[in-house]
Amino acid sequence: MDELLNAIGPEGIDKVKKSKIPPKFLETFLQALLSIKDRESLLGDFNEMYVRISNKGGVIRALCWYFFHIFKLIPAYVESKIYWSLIMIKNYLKTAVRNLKNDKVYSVINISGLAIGMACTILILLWVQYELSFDRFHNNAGRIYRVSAHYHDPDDFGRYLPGPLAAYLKEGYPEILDATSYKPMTMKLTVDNRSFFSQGSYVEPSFLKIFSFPLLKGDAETIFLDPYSIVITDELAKKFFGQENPVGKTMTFMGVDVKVTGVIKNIPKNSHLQFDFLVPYEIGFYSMRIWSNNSVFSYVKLAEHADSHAVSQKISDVAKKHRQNCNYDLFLHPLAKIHLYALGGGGQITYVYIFTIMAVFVLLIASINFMNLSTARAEKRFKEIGVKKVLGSSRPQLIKQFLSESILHSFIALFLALFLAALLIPSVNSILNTPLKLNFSLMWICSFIGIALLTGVFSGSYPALYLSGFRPLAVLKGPFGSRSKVRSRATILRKALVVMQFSLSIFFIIGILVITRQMNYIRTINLGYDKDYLVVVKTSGELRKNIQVIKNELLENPSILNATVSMMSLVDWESAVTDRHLSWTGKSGEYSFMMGQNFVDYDFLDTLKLQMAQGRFFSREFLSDPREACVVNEAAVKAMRMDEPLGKKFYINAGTDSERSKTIIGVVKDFNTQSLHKEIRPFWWEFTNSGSYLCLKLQGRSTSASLKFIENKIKEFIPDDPFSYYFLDDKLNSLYQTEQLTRSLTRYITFLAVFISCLGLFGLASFSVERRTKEIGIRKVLGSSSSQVVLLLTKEFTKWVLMANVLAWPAAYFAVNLWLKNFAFKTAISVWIFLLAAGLSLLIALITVSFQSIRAATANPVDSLRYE
Amino acid sequence: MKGLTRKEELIMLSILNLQRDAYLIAITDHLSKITGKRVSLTSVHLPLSRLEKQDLIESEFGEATAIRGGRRKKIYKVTKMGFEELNEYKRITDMLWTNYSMLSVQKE
Repeated sequence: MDELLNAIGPEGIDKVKKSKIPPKFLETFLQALLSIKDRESLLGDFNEMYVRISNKGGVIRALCWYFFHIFKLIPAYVESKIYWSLIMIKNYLKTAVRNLKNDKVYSVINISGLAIGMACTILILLWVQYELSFDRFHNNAGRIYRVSAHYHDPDDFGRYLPGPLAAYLKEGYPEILDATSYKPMTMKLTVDNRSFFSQGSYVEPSFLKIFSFPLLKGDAETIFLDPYSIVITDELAKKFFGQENPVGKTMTFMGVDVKVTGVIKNIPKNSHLQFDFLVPYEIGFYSMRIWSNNSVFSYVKLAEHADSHAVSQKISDVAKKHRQNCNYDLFLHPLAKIHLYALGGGGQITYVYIFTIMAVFVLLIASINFMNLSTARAEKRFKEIGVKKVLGSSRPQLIKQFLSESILHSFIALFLALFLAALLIPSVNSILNTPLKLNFSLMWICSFIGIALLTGVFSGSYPALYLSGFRPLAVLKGPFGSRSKVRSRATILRKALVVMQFSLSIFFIIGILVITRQMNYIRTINLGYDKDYLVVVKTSGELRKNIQVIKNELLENPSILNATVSMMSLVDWESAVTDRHLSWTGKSGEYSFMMGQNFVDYDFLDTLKLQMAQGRFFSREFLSDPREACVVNEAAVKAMRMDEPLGKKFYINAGTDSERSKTIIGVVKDFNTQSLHKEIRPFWWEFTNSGSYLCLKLQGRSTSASLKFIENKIKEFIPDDPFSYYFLDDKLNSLYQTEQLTRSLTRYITFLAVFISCLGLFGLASFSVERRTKEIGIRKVLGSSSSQVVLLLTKEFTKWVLMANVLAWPAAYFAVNLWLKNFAFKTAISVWIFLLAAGLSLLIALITVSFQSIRAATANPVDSLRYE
Repeated sequence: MKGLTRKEELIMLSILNLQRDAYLIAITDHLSKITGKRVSLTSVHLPLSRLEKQDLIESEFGEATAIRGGRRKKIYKVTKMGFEELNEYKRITDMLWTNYSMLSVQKE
C-alpha cells in the first residue's frame, strides 16, 4: 500500500516552473464553466494535471489536453444553464402572475392602457404601411418615372404636359426604354341603351408594358392593334356584361363603337392611377396631339442602371424646343414618390411622419403609465424585494424578475390590442377610405412581438433598475431611515413622468382644437358666393345645343331657383389653365402668371350670388356681349397691374391665328372656388350659350325631389344619358380630404392619449391617497373638514397639470403654426385655445383625481386609524 | 442499500486505499493503475459528486501546493454510512461467490 501511495503522491512539487502554469485566459475561461461549489479544487486539479503532462510530454500536449477538457465541459455547462434559466423563468412568470392577480385594479389600468396604446400603434402602422406601399407593386416600380414640369416665375409645378412628349422622348433618348401618354377623363360608356359615366384613360400600347396591371383576358401585345378597341376592368365588365365573357363585345364610346379586347384586373387602391377602362391614344382629341396644349400625363420607363438625374438634365429643355413662350423645364418624378411627395415639397409623407410620431407618443404615454404605477407600487413591494435579496437573489435576477413581469403585461396587452384593432379596422377603413386589414405575415408577427417586447422592456426597465437597486437592510428596516430618501427621489421622477404624459395630452388637445377651428373656418368662411344648395350637373356633349332649352324648362319648377350653363366645372382649376397666351392694353414686359378661364351664360352672377366690384356682368341688353365682352375677377386685375380695367382690351391666344379680342366690361369681386390652401387665382369669363355643365340653385327643401325632376328632364332629351351631379358643397369639402383625415385621426388619438393619461393619473392618485390614509385620518380627527382634505389632495395634481401646460404650449404653438402654413386662409391662433386646453386638461385631471380624494376625504377616520 | 454502481464502488474503495490524500487526481491515478486502463478525470468527478450528495463520502479542503497554482485540494473520506454500504456490498458479493463455489464443488 505504501508503495502505491509513493508512486502516486504529488510528485516534483519543487520542479514546477513558472512556464508550466496553464495560460491565464484559459484558466479564466475554465473558471466560468465550472460551478461555484467545485471551482477551487477542480481548478487546482486541472492545474496539477497540466503541470504533470507538460513535464512528461511537453507544453503543447498539456495545452491540447487542457483545451480538450474545456470543450468537453461546454455541453454540460450549456445544458445546466438552460435548465436553470428555464426554472427561473417559470418562477418569474409565476410570481408575475401572482402579482397580477394580487392587485387587480393596478393590472387592469396597466394592461388596458398598454392595450389601447398598442392597438392605436398597430392601426397607425398598418396605415403607414399602406401609404408606403403605393405604386410599389409594379415590377419595374424603381425605373418608372412621371415627367413633370417645373414652372418659373411664379415658381410652380405641373403634371399636365403636351401629348406628343412621350413619343418624342422614347424616340430621342436611348436611356428611355418606353414611354406612354396618359390622358384621364370621365366619359359615357353605353352598351344596349345602358350607360354609365366611367373613369377612363387614353393610353399608348406600351402602357401595359410599363405598368404591371395584370390582364385577366386578352394579350398585351395585340390589345390595341385596332384603334377602335377598349380594355375594361373586371368590375366594369361585371357591371355591363354580368357573367358573360366581355371580350369581343361592342361598347359605344364618344359616339363610336369600340370592341372589348381585354379585361384588366381591378386596380388596387394603392395605385395612384385609377381607371375603369383604357382606350388607344390614337382615337383621342386633336388637342392631345399638339405641343401647345398641356393636358396629358407622360410616364417613362428608364433602362436598367440609367441615371435618372442625368436623364432629367437631358430632357429639361425638350418642351422649350417645341413651343414658344414655354416657361417650364421638364424633370423626372419617381413613380414611388408620386403619391407621397407632392412636387415642390410636402405631400402625404408629412402625414405619414406625423402619425408615426403620434403612434410613438401614444405608446410612450402608455409605457409611462406602467413605469409610474410600478414605481408607486414599489413601496408595497419593498418587503418582497428585501426578503428576496436576503435569501440570495442577485441583482440581475431581480431585474429579470421585474422585466418578465412587464413583458408579461405587454404580451397580454398585445393580445387585447390585436383584438381591439380587429374590431376597429372596419370603422377606420370607412373613415380613411382604405382597405386596411390585420395581416399575420411573418413580418407583421415579428413586428407585433417586437412592439410588445420593446414596450415591455422599455416600460419595465426603470422599475427593474430602480427596485433592484435597494440595499436589503434599508428596504427591510422600516418606513424611516434611508428608505425615505429613496422614496423622495422616486416621487420626483413620478411627477416628472406625469407632467410629461400630460404635456403630450395637452399638445394633442391644442392640436385638435386648432384643426377643428381651422376646418370650421374653412366651412364657414365667406367664399364670396352662396355655395349652399348649388348642384352642378354634368351632361354629355350631345346635350350642348339643347342646353338652354333644358335650362328654361327646369326653371319652371319652383324649387329650382336659378340656373346657369358653363363650359367647365367651377371647381376644376387644372382643366382651365392656360399659360401666357394673353395680352391686354398696357401689358408691358414679363408678368407670367396663370389664369383660369371659363365660359358662362347670363345667369352666372345671379345663380352663384356673386358681387360685382366694378362695371357689369354679361347682359341680354347688350347684343355685342357674346362676341366682344369678357369679365375678370379682382385677382386678375391685380395680376395684370391694371388701374382702370373697365373698357380695356383683353386678348386671348395673343399673337396667334386664333387670337380673340375682348373688352373688359366688369370686374367680379373675388370669390373662391378653389381650395383655401391657395390664394384666389386670376380668372376671366367669356360668354357662351352652350356648355356641358349646368349649375342649379335649389330651394333648401326637397332637394332629392328636385334632383329626380332634373334627371327626368334630361332623360326626356337624351334617354340613355347617365345622370351625374355633385353638390358644390361636397366638392369643396373633398378638397380638404387630407385635413379631414387628419382631424378625425387626431381626434381619436387625442382621446386615447388623454384617456391613457387619465388611467395613469387615476392609478397614481389611488396610490398616493392610500399612502396618506393615516395622515388624512389624523387631519380629520384634529378637525379638518372633508373639503379641506379634498383640496389638499388635489392641490398636488393641479400643480403638475399646470406645469404640463406650460411645457406643452410652446411645442404645440410651433407645431400648429407649421400646419397652418399649408393654408392661404387661416384662423388666428388665439390665446383662448391654449387657455381652453389648460382648462380642459385641468378639469379632466381633477375629475380623475376627485374619485380617489373624495373617497379618502369622506372615509371615517376611525377606520384608517384603528390599526396601529 | 443505495444501489451503487461498479464504478462508484471502485472509487470508494480507492478512497479507502489512499487513506489521507484522496483527492480527484490521486483517485484517478490509483484507479488507472489498479485497472490498467486509462481513466479520465471527468469519469471520476461525476460519481464523486453523486456519492457526496448521497452522504456516502464527505470532503474537506486540504493543503494548497504550488503545482496546483496555490489552490486547495478537495480531499474525500468515506463516511460511516459509506463504509457500511461497502461492507454490505462485500457481504453480498462474498455470499454469491461462496454459493457458487459450493455449487461447483457439489457438481464435481
